[in-house]
Amino acid sequence: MSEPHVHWLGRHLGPDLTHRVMIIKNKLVTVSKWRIYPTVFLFALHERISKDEATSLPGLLRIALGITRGNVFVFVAFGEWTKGEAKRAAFELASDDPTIPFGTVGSKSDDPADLTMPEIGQKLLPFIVPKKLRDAVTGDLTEDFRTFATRWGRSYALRWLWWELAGLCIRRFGPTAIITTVGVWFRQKLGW
Amino acid sequence: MKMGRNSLGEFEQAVLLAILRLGPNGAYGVPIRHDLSERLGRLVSVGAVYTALERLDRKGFVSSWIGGATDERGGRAKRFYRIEAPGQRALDAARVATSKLWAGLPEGAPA
Repeated sequence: MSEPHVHWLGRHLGPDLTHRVMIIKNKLVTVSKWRIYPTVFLFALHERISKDEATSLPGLLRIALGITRGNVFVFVAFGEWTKGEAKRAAFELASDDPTIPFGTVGSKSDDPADLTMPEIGQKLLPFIVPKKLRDAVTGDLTEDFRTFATRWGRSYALRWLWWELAGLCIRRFGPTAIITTVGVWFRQKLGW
Repeated sequence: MKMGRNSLGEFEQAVLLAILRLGPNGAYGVPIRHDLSERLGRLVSVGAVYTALERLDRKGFVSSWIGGATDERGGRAKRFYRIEAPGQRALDAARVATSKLWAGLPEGAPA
């Protein structure tokens, strides 16, 4: 193993793929980009390591990132050791179960109240979903909310829900209408 | 260039294929979304899926019916989808078109 100090954690904080964690030379480094980049580019995105430094690490040029079914990062990895190192690093740092997203260990809940979609979400839906699809969309959101709350905790599920509701709003009313509404509200609030 | 009424967008094609894969008794919002997220490698939103499904419904490519309600969905019914003959034809046409576009090029051609 020629690069023992570079570990890819292969982890993120949930299926929204906003957070990546890796260790470079024993430093925990977070990278917020989620798209698939060649390793060098990914390194270059972060200021703590220069491109020259990155390119000087042999064997890393061909590593890219991908995502598996369980939302665990993979390192599409053209080398078994990379996968092995990533798994080992993840294991050392956080959890004993490599399938649980990093940073969310301990946030799971079995309390039925925590698994229920908040009432305000259900009250908003009639305004933003056409009548024909209302039952189906509400049911889907409820089902997914329960799944996410069980697997990754209520706070993650709430973030996901608000994100979905915002998306539905934009699809229903269009970005211009929403920006205008927010603008008018601010204008009134600030007395412009 | 405007797409014809019977042509398929890339995402619509992905949704139709997900419905095909899941079969008529499994193709409702949640599994369709999960299947797409998994295969496209990105999180697909509920809104995106239902917008595409509505468009496909208007084109006559899919039909839907209401299934039973379950407790885990807060007593809400599922809306199941299945592909109709025009949808199947559109998928076949999209496949042929893609094959024609790729014809003569080696696999993994450089971008």
